[in-house]
Amino acid sequence: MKNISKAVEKKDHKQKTSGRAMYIADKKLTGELQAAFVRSELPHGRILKIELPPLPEGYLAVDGRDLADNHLQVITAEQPVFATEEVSYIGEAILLIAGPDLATARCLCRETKVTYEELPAVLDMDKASAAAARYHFAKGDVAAALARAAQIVEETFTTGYQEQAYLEPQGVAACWDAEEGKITVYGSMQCPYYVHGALMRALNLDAQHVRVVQEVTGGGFGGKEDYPSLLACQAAAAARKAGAPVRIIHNRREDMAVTPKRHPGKLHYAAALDAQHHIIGLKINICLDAGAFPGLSSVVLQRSLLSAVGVYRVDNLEAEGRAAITNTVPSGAFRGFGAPQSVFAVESLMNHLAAKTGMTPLAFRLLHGVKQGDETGTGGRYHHHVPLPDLIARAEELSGYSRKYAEYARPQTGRYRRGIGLALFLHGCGFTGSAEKDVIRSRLILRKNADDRVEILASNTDMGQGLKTTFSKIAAEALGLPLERIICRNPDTDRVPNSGPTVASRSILIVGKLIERAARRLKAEWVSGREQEVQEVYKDDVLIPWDLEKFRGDAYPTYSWGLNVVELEEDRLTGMTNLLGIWGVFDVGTVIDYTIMKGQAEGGILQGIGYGSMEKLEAQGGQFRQGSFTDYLIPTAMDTVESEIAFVDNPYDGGPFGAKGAGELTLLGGAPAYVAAVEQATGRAYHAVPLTPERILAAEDKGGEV
Amino acid sequence: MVTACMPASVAEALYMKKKAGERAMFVAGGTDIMPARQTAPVMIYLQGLHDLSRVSRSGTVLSIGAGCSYTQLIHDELIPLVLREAMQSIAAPAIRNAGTLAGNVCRASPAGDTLPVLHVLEAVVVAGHLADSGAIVERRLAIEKFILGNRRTALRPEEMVLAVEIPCSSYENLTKMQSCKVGGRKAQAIAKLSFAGICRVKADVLQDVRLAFGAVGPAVVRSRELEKKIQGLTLTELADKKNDILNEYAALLQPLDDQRSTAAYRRQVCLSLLEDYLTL
Repeated sequence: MKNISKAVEKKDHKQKTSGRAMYIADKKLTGELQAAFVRSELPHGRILKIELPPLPEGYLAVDGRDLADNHLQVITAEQPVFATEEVSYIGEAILLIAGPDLATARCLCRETKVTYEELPAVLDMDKASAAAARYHFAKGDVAAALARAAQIVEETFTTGYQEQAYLEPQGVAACWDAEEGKITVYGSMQCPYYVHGALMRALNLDAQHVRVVQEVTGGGFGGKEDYPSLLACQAAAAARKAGAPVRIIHNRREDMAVTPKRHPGKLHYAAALDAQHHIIGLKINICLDAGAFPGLSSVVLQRSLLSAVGVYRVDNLEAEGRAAITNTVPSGAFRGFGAPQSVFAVESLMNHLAAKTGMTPLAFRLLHGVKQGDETGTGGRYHHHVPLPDLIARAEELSGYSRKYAEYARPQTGRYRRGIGLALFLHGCGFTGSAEKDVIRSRLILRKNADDRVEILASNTDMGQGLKTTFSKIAAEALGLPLERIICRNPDTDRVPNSGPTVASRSILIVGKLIERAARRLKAEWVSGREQEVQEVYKDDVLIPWDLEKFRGDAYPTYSWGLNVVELEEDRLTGMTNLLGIWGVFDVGTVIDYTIMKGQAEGGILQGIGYGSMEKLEAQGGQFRQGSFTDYLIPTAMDTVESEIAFVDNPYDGGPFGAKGAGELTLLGGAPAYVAAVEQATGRAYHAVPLTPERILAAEDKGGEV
Repeated sequence: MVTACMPASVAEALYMKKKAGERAMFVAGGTDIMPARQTAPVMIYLQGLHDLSRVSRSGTVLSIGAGCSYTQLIHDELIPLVLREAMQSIAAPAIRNAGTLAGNVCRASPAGDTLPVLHVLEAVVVAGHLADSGAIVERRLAIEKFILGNRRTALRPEEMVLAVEIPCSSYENLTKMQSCKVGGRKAQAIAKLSFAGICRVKADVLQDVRLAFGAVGPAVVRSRELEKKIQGLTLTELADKKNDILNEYAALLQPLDDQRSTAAYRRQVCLSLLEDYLTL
């Protein structure tokens, strides 16, 4: 194991395990007001009249008129901060009422009467005509491949919503300094500069008059990428109007009802096979449910499309996709960001094609795996070592996959039947396309104090994934300093440059590399006892430039790779499953901290298995049926077994000490490996996640497939 | 305003309840009312009442005090194994440490985890109130008479449950005892459905059979009428008639489609579990 990979105590370990960590809900501001919302009760409607009850002294109502620009800046800015004339989904904020007592504010909200004219609502993505984005790309000649195919297999896969289920619900507090004309927002968030940009626009303030401070954040998983910007604008409008600090903390029900989820998807595949069982062409159509506003959906869809062929080489390919606008809660970011939908679909397709050709899932995969130097679906290249054989060898060694697969393929009798499933996957590291170069342009500062301690000034956040520790380790290793001499605080936009958001598995790869480079320079210039500062900016090292219009080029600088194996037994009577074994083998380049990475892997796989099995979130009439953790189930410790995790060594020069993206990769294989294991146990094919016991038995019943 | 009371004795608890009537609510473990944020003008907390925390067997009756927690009962060998197993499937250790069997009965949820088992064990609920003389007056109700429907019981405003009694004959010398909870996951889950079965087979004849289903109706589904039909059958006859029996039970189930499961799944799994159970 490399020195940097050796686990250390996390920088925030003592603070969190002792309970001293202060979350936004623990932070009390003098004279603060609390806020509650009046929200849309219709999926689509025109607001005709709003009747407020008489507001007691100290209470005020805040709506879209209280903002200089009532548009939320995401990638574009279609979504209103407060709905003014029209409501577009159930739960959309119309106004808020703030005051000293939250219960009173809630009561006043309930007494507010909104009269609507109901408008036709689009609740089904198949019926949507508007799209947040559409893309299309092709390589080779799919039509010709389909024409000469010995066999064409068509399958449609559907995937459900997934709730991030961070432990700490969303929350912010805003303070307005009337003298300075400056807004400060504290909160639980992943991307302080996204919030900063949204506030500048909504309040029409320049960068110096907006300050955003991240507080200790209890989990994000993508859920705190865009939504905190909305909450911040709402709180800021109230704070400025009230002239007092305003705090908004969602309770779990409100959080689950109105914050963004993983996009539901519908993915259609037509595969052309030749007589030798080789895939000679793939035609793919993906539809994601964007919800009421575009938000991040265009980029999510890009990643779905870019992941749609998995780790396989297909010379004739055509893929198109759209992110449909519907009158439902806007979908957003969730670990994997469009890839989990596609990885489930393509990995299940590979299993079904293998079955049709009489090959084992692994043998069929080996026939199609990409190799270094191969072209990607978009005319980019796999420039670096592709470790699929290494992953497979290690997984076989740990899990005995092929031996067990052969054993469970024999007829099984009795109430419980066993199965083992495997999934192979990759994840493009960092932002999709050219955003690092064209939009983000990360900037990082290392500041050396006179006491020779070094502070990392970056806007990236630790939300539980251990970034303070891994960032500090990179700096310490490059500087040759003990870890205690490195300081890494929660970002405050008054103090830190914009090194970009904490998303897309980019923090270590992109910002970590800036830290490494800055640290090496600082070491060379080091003068003990003097204050010094080193700045680094992102340098593009993408080999084939990305062209979004043409959907061509290297969409990512490099890829991380993974393999999961899931072994289980299924109860014929109930359709319930018992996990028997979970294995994960990953290539994330150099592991920056073994314990942190193992945590990412174990959690990611289980979150993926949850996505594939029990995490059912259904929208009915534009409203989620599962409104709390009683009804929206995520796996508990009782539902899993100890997973075995291993890493293969495949360092990447473009990352710090050879590290690549890691956080999202780990979620991708859980669902398809789980479904594959159930498929072997039951002898059925499935096309939908979550694969609940209800769906397993329904397939039995129909004697067919779901 | 909420008045919180901590009675020092059962008699005092009953006195408080008599005074406050429907304005008062008893709290044993509180594991159901707390997440539901339920409250009443008078809350009477029963945690300190050791008289309610006893398990005793006198003659042919096992008596379980209303204050006994699941954890206490799971570790008590006097309690029939089938009931202990059902309690082991409830929520998670923290809730099992606080929650009580009597609380599960009084809350009368259609999905109450112990209820199908208590039905097949012919449990009797002992309710008590304070007479004007100061004496505690007891009233015994079979569990199916006590639970009237979804969240509805026959408990009177002045009464409280003192104990749950189980006749020992209901669980001794049995051939097969089974309880099965089907939840969305293995801990912290509300049952999608549940099943409990008890039977005694002697010389290839079914002497006694009791079957119950949870979460497929407003209250537990148990049919003495159908059980009578099955009793006395030889195992061969049982095998022959199994399909008819399943059809008759199917007609009794009233499963719902909701956020946790589907009616079709609930019905199918109930019948599959029953069929499996009757494969003797």
